[in-house]
Amino acid sequence: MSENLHLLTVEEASAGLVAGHFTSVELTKACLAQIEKLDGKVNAFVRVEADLARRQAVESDARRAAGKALGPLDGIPYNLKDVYATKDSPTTASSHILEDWQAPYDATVYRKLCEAGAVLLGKTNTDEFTMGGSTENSYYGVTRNPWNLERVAGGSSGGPAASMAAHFGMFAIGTDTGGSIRQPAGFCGVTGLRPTYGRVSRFGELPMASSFDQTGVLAKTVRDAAMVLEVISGVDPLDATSSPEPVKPYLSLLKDNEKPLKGVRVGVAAEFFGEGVDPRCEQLVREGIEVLKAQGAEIVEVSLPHLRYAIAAYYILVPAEVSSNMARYDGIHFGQSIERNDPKAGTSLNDVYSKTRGEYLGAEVKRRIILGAHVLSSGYYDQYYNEAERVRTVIAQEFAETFEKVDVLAAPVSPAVAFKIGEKVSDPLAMYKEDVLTVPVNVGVISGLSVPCGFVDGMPVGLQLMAGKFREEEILKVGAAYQQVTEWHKQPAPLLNQ
Amino acid sequence: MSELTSDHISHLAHLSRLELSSEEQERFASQLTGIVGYVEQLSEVDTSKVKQPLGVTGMTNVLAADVVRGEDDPRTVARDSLLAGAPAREGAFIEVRAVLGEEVTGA
Repeated sequence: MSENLHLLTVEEASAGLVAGHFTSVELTKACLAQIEKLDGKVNAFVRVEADLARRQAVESDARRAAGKALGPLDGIPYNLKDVYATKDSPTTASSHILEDWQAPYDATVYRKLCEAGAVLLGKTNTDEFTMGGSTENSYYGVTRNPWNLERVAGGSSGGPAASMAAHFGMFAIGTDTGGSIRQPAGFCGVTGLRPTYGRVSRFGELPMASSFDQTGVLAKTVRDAAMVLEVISGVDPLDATSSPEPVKPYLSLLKDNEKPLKGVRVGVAAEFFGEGVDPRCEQLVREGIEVLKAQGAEIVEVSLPHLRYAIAAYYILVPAEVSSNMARYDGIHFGQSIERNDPKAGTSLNDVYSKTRGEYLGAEVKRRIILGAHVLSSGYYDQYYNEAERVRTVIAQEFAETFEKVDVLAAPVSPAVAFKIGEKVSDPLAMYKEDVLTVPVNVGVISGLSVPCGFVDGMPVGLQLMAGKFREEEILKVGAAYQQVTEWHKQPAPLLNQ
Repeated sequence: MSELTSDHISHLAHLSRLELSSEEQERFASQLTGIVGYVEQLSEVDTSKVKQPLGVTGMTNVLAADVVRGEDDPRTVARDSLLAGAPAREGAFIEVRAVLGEEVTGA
């Protein structure tokens, strides 16, 4: 029975636990064995917490035996992107500066998952402080794509995405500031949900850009993502930006009938299919849209003329927020410091700051700190930062108007499939442009979902679905209806056959 | 298109308290010149109608209840566990190098 338990979805595993077909300990062991077998090749995990996972699984089984199971996620193994503070396990943000850092408190997301009984398998890889689109900026090594180990898994949530493709657990929690859930999900052929800003508490989530960061879910199916979203969402007194908007019963809102998308208007905007999008990817996405039509949806042509400016606004506002957020890594309060490791390297307080940061922060983090300092400096502030805020407002209004005419938008996730490791590391602007189709969601304060829709050159392609503010149920409904009649999300990565 | 010089990068690095090697300064000068040149396309957008920039949450004045959390509240963080992360401390204090006079002696 315990054979291949790691291949199950959350929904299947949850039903199996309820029916008593297997225990959480058996399920957890199967996931740990899969990690042991394949993560040497993938490097999805920064840290595997086998003992913690076994302990949480034992507790889950005891609760269930006593008739006190906590809900659908009780006993389900998952991982956290390594940017969530947890008292049970160190948190590094894949940075040298937080090597061995032990958080003194728990992120709200982790607390909620503990209260739901889920089993933490460990912390997964990301670009340092989530800055990047390939996981190549991790101090702990690149994460490899289970579909082709020579290619990136995407990023910044490359570890969580690869962990789903390699079946290292049932779901993963990641962050998406400019596409960091949807892009790696697309690259790895898994499902990635980026809810609206404020839907999930960010308390204890190490920040990159505070007006963009949002926690979401990577999973094997849309239905699983809906189940997890329901558990992690909601207002939190510890995060003033979390929304009091009521949490919806996302899973039970999904219909499973003949024409599930009858009455649903799916918008298609030419601006998402512009120059630079691989025509083979475009073709698959357009075929995906035909599937939605066959499921009952009405396809509506729309236009978002300012979409093309989203990436420029994003790469002003985000570095500005980065330069401010990264100030906390000062060699004084916590984390690695020359004061601890090499006190003779500096003579003054300024030396402790600047030498610690120079030594322990990586290239992309430094680049964004400097870029942010530039766009915020006097003389440039209005030209860059304020202007980008105004453009952000224009784009958000354009989305709001569009979502009066349609329920969801459909588009590609990325211009092309996963690129080769090393291909873009020396060209930051080329790397930034990878985000061109995902950042509009973050700039426009809406929600987005990535679902697998086919393959180009043996690599997965993602279909992106977007919905208005706090309308996650719309993209979940369309995504679930899509997966009801397609098999792309069930295809095993070649690594699994080894 | 504005060009960022290595000297300007050096100035920004000082303001950011971030030590960069001269190689990093030159590399960033060239890379950031490209990035800034790209983002300058924003000047094409007519933003004259935007009265007030977007507030991303749409909420105002989110206030926390003015109550002290007890030590047994799971959200309470003990002082010692917070201080434990500091590289240098003396008792309940974080120890830092002399601040006053630094601009004179440390320059």
